[in-house]
Amino acid sequence: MHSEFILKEYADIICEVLESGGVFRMYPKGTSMLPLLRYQKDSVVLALPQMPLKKGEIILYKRGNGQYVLHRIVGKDEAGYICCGDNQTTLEHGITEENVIAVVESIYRKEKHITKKNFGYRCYWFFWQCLFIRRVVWKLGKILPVKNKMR
Amino acid sequence: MKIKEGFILRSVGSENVVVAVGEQSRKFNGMIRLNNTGKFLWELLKEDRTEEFLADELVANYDIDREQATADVKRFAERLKEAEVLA
Repeated sequence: MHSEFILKEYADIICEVLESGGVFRMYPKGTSMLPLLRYQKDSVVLALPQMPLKKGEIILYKRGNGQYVLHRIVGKDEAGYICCGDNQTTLEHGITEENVIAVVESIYRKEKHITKKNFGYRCYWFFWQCLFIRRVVWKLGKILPVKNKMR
Repeated sequence: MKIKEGFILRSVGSENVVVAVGEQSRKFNGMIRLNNTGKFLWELLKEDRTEEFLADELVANYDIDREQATADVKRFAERLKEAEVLA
């Protein structure tokens, strides 16, 4: 069991560590980044983001309502980055560089250290993208017949 | 003994928290939470101190006897050594 803390209260400390050129290891809560990040098992190493960020990177960002979120960049448009959890299909638009606090430099699956160059991780990312597209299509497929029936 | 370079002590609400910055953060993961006595000892350990000196300071500043102070300092120092925080 790792000691838990409220991210909102520790955001200033995390920023101070990152701005010093350091990294901060954090155990994310929730299920939105499953199957990659399992609650209370896996952790991420946060570093200062180097702009512009690339598609596929996992970022820690602050929403307008003050909520902190760790999700993956799945695209970019004129409003900013488009993010989504690996376990989600709902896209979040309009994440600007000002919202971004940190980028995930590497991951610990339990105590196994995985960098972004890791072959297994790259395979995961490749297949996740394919699965993600299938899930979006599947979700749309579930919605569209309902709309058709309503006509 | 003395605290290594690259550690900072910050207050978050009522909590005292130690984290590593810069290069040190690549060797030291996470954070150390300190109570007020721990914070007092941490501040003293910014300079090279002996366990005897720290125990003396505890006795002088807190309502604690010498035997208890020595035991507390020993336990605190062991914890910091385990975390590889001491130079």
